[in-house]
Amino acid sequence: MDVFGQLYFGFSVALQPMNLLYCFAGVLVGTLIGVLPGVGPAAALSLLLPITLYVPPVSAIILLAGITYGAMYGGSTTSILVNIPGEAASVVTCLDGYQMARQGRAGPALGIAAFGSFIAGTITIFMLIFLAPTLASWALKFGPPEYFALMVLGLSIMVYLARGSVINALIMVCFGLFLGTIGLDTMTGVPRFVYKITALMDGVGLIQVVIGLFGVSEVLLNVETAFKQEIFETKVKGLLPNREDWKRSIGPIGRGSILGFFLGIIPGMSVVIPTFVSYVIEKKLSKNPEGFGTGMIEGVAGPESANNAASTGTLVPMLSLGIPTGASTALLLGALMMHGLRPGPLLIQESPDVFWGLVASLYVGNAMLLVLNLPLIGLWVKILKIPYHFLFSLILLLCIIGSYITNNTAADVIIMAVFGLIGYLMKKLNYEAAPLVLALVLGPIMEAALRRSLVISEGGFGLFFTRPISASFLITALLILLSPLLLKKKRLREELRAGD
Amino acid sequence: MYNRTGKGMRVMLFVAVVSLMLSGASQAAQDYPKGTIQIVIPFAPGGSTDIFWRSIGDFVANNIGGTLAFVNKAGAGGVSGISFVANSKPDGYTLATGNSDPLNISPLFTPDIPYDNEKDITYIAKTAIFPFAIIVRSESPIKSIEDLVAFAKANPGKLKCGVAGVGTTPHMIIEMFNRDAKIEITPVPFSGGGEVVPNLLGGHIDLTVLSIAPIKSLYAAGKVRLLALMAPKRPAGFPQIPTIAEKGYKASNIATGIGLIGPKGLPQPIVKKWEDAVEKTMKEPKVIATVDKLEGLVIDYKRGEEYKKEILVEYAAFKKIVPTLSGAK
Repeated sequence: MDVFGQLYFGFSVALQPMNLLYCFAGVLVGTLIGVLPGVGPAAALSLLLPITLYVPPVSAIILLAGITYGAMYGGSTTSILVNIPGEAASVVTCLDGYQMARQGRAGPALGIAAFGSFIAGTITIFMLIFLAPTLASWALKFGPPEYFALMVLGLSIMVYLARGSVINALIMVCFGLFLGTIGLDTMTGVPRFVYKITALMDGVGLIQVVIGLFGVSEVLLNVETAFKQEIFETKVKGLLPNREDWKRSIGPIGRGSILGFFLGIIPGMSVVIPTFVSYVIEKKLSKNPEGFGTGMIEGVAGPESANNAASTGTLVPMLSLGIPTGASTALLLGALMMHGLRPGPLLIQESPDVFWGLVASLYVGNAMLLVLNLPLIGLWVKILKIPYHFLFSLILLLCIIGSYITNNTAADVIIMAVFGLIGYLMKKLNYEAAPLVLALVLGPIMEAALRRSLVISEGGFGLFFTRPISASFLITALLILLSPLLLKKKRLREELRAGD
Repeated sequence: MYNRTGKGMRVMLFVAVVSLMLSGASQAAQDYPKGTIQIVIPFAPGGSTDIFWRSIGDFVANNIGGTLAFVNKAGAGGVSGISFVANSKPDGYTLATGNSDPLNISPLFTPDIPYDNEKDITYIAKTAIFPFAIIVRSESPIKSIEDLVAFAKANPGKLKCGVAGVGTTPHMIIEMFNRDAKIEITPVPFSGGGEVVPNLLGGHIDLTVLSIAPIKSLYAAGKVRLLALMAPKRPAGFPQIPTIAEKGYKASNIATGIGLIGPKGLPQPIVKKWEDAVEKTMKEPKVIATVDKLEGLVIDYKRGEEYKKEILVEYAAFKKIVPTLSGAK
């Protein structure tokens, strides 16, 4: 059977009425938990895991996979409406999505997020089918030195994230890197900046920091000004993206999809990083980079496509090697194993119905999500019409639930509150949160990768430059850092002046 | 109105509460369980312990005759969840499960750990073990434990062994093996087994010690080679792989167990009820079949007292090697 024959077989499995029903249930649950900040797909998957024992394996995996990519759709909703990222992967969506909502364009923002996710889903499913085996072995070339080099590259693009002063952005990067060192040191187990607080042993949680910096601080700021002015313009301009929106978004969606997919394949790469990279690329390519952060639809389309693409990408190592790249894929693997299936190199031969059924259901599920999400836009946008003095208490409640639920610990709520205050001060003093969040994601991976590399090389730095992938990343990073000096001396001078 | 009847009401209430408490104390064990029992899983969703309990949860619930709610309270390598339970009310409605790491290793690594693994915990039962394996990729020239020891002796410190984290059972195993065989293999800590496997397959590390569940499919596909297993006996599905004890390294034969614990002072009748329920569950053919499918878990039922003894013996053994490692408190 050729690929298309197998795909046809996959669709015949996925389109069975029962499987369609499971797929729908999965994407519905996924959308809902995606909308709730802090509640990640992993929590929902582990709750539903026992239930899947009572259904056939294909249906089980279709249900569970539906939850994981459904959550990526839902994640953007609260980012756009109330500036709380539903998932860490939707942090970047806040930057322009929330601004769009404030200009009465929540509808197009939500719409492009849904369409972008759908297009990314479609593109990457075909990449998964045709490239999975080749790509899996490519991903294995990433050892600690390559991770380190990739993270350096990630850090080097960081300043482009900044909207205002570069110097302020760099200060936030340092602050984020510092926050990343809190907790038990992964190499030796020594506690750093823990001060005997058990809650800090694993470091400050990304989700708590993000909810605090974006959601809580925004509420504080709005409550302060609520008496003077309306927060959101009541007039909502259109519910769907118009022709102009599409023209601007189609490029970002395509680039975000491909980028997200490739970065998603690399095990241990977080789904968060591709969204930042996509945002920066769109900003660099844009004719109007200064507009980013004020409600540019490109800043929503690119990252939202990238996070969906990345979640398909994580299926590559899972299905072809049996390697979980995160909690969600670990649970999917667990579900397969509970049914006696063997995820890994032999899955396609041993259980073709599961493999091809899953692949086809990814496509079916994406279509369902689009149909499910478009009518919801009208409903979501109505939320913005609630007077802010009612809305903000609801937002705060969501923030508290979201930060509590990740570990079911009250200390996390305190951490969130502290970062809410920090975020408020940062906004008052014109420091942006996005560089901080990216540094907090990259920092711990970069440090661990550097130290692992040095253990492996017994202290020699040579391996960063003798390994081709690592060397090329480092050279690219160097070029990125030098490029403003070489090409845009003038602009840099202006930016630096803005920072004074 | 409150002022007039307040005193009488308070006396009545007091009597009611006291009599409830008295009757509660004598009847608690017979009535147990009478509501939802919270079982804390001290790790994030998706771990082996998590998947194990959620897949057999319904069977356990049937045998204990109550509703079970599994709650993930992750943090500090399981310490957060265990300390939550150790400090909860010993009424049998808040229990914890998990592998043995937070019980027999974390106390050696975590400063100011908020519980004493001997005094603050009631050990209820042990359910299963994860056997670990020493694994190389199939391209590796190392074909057996003898090869490994010979190579390590000739090249001290050259072999790099990926482990799933500092202060985890695999980390202890490789350190024990270093002492047992008088060799020097360098452990490289990663953040979890999911990171170790691609690094092994990509040849970035020379070997790893990992539980067998995640590598079973790679083994079947011929991508990795198992040199030895850490298990009381050869587990089903791996009849041709020797245990490390068979090769003469008895002290290195460590497998982590999944058990059930509660806070100190848990009434004996409740412990007994759980022991019986767990024992019955672990003997059910359907449960055995489910656990078999999870591949890499082996049912190993032990009563509370035996489980406690085992944890403390392992703890004493690790205590001897940990002060020599960097990072221990």
